[in-house]
Amino acid sequence: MKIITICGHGLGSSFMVESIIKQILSEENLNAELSHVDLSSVSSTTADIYLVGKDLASSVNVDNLIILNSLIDKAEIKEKLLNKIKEIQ
Amino acid sequence: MLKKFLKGNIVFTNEKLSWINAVKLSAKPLLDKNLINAGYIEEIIKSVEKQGFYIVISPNVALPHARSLNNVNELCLSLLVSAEKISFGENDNIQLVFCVGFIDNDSHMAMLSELAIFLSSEDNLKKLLTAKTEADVLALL
Repeated sequence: MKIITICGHGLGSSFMVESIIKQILSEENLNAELSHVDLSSVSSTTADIYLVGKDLASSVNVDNLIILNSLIDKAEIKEKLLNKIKEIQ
Repeated sequence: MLKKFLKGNIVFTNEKLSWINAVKLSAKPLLDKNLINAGYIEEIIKSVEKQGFYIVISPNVALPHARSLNNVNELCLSLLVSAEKISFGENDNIQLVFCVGFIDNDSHMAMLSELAIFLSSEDNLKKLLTAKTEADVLALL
């Protein structure tokens, strides 16, 4: 499974989400390949699940996109991510 | 690690600030120590004006940063804690403003990862919102 987080510059926010996902996956005993990209690079990537903040969501056109209200709310990320993983499996 | 970066770089305000003045005030300790140049603050503001409020990461937290070629002298982090809620566009509940200076694509990863995990705890966030002094903040880290 490959999970990609997206933000405007591919520097800060997307990596913060990635860090929280890494912790969640570890707690849930799940494995996935994680990476983070900037908005302009999304179209050249493939992944099973993408995550993006609500402010940029309208600029992203991919399948299995999770839209986050907060990029640092572990409870929100966990709920949406685990639901999406169930959905695609 | 967060403690090392934030020590001496935490500012408090009771004033009602615009988002631009909040970004400027959050960056002030970094500018005063010459960790960033004034141009970095302008780059952040211009970047937001062009791309929207990508620096808002949660209902209460903004993380002003930009990709800078030569206005960041050292990897750095600062924090503004505002008693008043600040409007960043439609996000009108911002009270914590973390300014980050990036020098490359990866040297900040350990610091940001620690910050993300710290902020992902609702309990930490609540305590941070009520912090009144730098010692209060550092004690949480």
